[in-house]
Amino acid sequence: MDILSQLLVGFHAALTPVNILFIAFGISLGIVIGVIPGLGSVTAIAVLIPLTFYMSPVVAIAFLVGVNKGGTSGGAVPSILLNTPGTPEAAASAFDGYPMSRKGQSGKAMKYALYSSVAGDTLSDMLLILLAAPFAALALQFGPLELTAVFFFAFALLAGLTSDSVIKGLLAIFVGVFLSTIGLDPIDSSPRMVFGRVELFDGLPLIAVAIGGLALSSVMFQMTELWRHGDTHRRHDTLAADRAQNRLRPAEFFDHWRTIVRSAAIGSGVGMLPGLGVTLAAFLSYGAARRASKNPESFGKGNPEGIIATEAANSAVVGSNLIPTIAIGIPGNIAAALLIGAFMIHGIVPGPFMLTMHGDVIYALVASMLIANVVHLVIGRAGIGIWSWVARAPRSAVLPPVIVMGIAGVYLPNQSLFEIGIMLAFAVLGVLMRYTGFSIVCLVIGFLLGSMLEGSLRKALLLHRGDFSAILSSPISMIFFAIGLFVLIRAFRKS
Amino acid sequence: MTKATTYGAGVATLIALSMGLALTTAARADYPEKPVTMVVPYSAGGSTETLARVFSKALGDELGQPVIVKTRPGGGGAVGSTELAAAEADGYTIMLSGSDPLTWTPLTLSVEYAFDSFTFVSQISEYQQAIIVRADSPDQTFDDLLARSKANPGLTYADQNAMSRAFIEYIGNEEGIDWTGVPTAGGGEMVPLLLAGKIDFAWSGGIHSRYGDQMRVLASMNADRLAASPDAPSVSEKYGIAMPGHMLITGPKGLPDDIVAKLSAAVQAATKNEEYLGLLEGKLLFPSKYRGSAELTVDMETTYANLKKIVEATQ
Amino acid sequence: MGETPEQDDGSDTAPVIDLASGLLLAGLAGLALVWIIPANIDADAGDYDVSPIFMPNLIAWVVLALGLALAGSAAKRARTGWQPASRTILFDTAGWAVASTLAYLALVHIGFQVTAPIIIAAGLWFAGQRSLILIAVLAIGLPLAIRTGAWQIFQVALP
Repeated sequence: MDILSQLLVGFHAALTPVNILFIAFGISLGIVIGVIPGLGSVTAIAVLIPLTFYMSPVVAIAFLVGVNKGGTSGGAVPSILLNTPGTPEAAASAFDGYPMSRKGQSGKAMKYALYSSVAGDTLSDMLLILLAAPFAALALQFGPLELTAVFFFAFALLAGLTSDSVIKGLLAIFVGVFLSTIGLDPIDSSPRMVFGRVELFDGLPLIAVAIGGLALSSVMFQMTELWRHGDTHRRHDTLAADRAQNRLRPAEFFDHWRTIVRSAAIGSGVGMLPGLGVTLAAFLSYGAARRASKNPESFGKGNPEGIIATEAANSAVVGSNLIPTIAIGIPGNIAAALLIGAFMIHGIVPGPFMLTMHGDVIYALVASMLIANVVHLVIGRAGIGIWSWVARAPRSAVLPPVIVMGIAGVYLPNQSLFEIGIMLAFAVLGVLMRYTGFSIVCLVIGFLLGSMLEGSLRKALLLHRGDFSAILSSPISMIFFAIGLFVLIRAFRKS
Repeated sequence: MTKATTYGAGVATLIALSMGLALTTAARADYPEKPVTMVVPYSAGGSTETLARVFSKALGDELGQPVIVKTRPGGGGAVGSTELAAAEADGYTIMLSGSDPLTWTPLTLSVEYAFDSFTFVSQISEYQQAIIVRADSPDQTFDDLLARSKANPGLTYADQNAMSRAFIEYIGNEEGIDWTGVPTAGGGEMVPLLLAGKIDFAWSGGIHSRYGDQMRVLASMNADRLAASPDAPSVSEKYGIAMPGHMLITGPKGLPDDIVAKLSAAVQAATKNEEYLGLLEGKLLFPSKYRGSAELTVDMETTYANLKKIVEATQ
Repeated sequence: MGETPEQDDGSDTAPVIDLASGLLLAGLAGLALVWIIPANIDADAGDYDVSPIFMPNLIAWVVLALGLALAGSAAKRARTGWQPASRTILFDTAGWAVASTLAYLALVHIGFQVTAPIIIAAGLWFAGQRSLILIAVLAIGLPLAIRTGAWQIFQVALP
């Protein structure tokens, strides 16, 4: 049977009321979870897996995938409305989403986010269907050497994003990288600056650092401003003005098709390579969009392309990280790892035999994913109405509860008060950095990239026994090293 | 106070005391009276954590109280083990894990617990640890690998933690071979490296079973040969060492005997649960292997003693 | 990145702040180099590998250099005009630091049930809310909702 007919069979299996109901439920739940800072798809899926015991495999996994999709797009809501990302991967949506919100265009910004999420997701789902096998084979070619090149390129691209003061941006990044070295050494497991604390063996926890530094610090900053100056945001008076400003016609949205496609591609690419993660995809896409734009200075002031780039990319990861999962049984990221666990519980062993032994389930799942994108659009649209209404509430009432929700949200996954402490510490650090003109985002990026870069660099050295000529035999790494170098040189020239 | 009231007070105290005593022993006899927490010191999504979820249901049915899985990942199991060691020894906190956080970790890292901070309740399964190669590798047997390594120095392998690395280094030392180890963070990172041919062989904690003919087991790292690969020799046959592969249930030190007995009985019954066996043996291809507390404790102590030797030889 | 009024783009900061930041970072980096790093990291390298101490050392040197560069450029700018910096930065940061520490200790020793309402109520008051009804509803209702949700859905007991 060829792909199309198998897919049709899959649709037939997936278009049941129960399935659609659970997809809708999953997406709604996911969105709500994404909105709460600290909670994300990962926690949600981990917790909901046992609840799916009594469902059939297709419904169960479709439900969980729905949660994943909702969770990834939900994080943009507080990003846009409150400059407080609900998930680290939505952090870049705040850069342009929040200014748009300040101009009274919060609805429009959220629509951009939603449509981009759905578009990115759909594109990567199609990739999954059509190109899973060849892409999985390609992904296998990315060993430590190739990944080092990719991280080098990512570093170069993101370093170029520093604000006008290059030195301060670089300082922030490098401090972040330094902080990422805390933990057990990735190669020989010797402790590095863990000060005897077992909680630090795996390094500073990413969610705590990201949510603390990006979300909580923003809340604290805003609260201080409120205390000092009262609420300076204008509430728009007429509903009519609101409506007109917040309309987003499909034509206007698809005007940005280049950014949409580029971001979906970046998200899909990153999602396919095991271990990279959603947050990296989102930031890379933002960086690439800004670089490709004709007026990059408009980024950060309300250019919708910033939102598009972030949301399309982070949602594209959802579909594409199932590619290695289905093709070779290896998760693309943590959420996919959880889905593998769910697969196993429902009797499907991930691996190369998944398609042959359980093809019907897989195709039904893929069909469900496409259906889920439509459902996502509908529910998300309705959600925007609700969030817009909530957005009318005064910030002084909304922000303090966000702190408490963030604390609960970070506590839920690992029940570690230590992580709460780290989160609060980085929140205070974020406040200080905001006041002194350093970018906490750069620090988080440095933190994210630092350990990955060092890890793959040292593994590459080991693998090739210190032989640098190995680079010449790997076209992939040569390409990425070259692009990265090019980006760096361009950035230097500009400043 | 009058003599009568003193006497009365004395009797009252005696009655109160004996009632209290009766209530406590009655409480223990009624274990469990509230939900039990089962700590899993690994991240969600891995084989152990997935298995734990299914097993906790079966165990909960046997105990009559729900068993709640609490994932506490970190440090290869160290964070969860620290929490277990510090918990009350009342049977309401137990842990499902491999044995390396309990044995290897305290020997090599500075943690707040030791091997004797625990009570070993039961073993339920065994990780199928092996040395594996790709299907199209020139090595058909372990001896082939050894011979090829001696002829072509510089072969590479992937390990997944410090312990597997140490064991392979030990073997390398015994054979006079200098392999280069590339650390990976788990089966998920090892598989692509192996399948793409970037490394020559790898240590596996059991994930190879999902790849059928695409991977070949050259040797078993457990004390016995693996059931699914009876032709591959075990390293204990050749070198007298074995990697601890127990999947076991542990409690904090000082767990009362009657609770241990009750738990073990429930665990043993739970290991017969169909859904659990379907996942364990049917899908994960791990063997169901129950061992009670006494036998397990002796085994763990021997394992620990042997591990000390490896640590001294390689660290 | 991001130039909302809340986010400084870094180049308008008063020179004295940059000077202080640069020196502080350089100082911390120096401290790391001579004390923190050597005391807490192994320096042995395996074959073909760099030692665990390589990367932290490298980064610390880079931070040291950049910090001094920042301080230097700030000093140059200061020559052309000494803008007084606002003290509020220190006060605000210190304020939040104290509040966070108290919150953390409260969470650890008293628990979520009591701390959360206090945080909400204090936060609402601080941010300008004066409606006692709202404060009461949020401070009591929200933690309750969170606790119920955490237990029922996630089976997690908050501290």
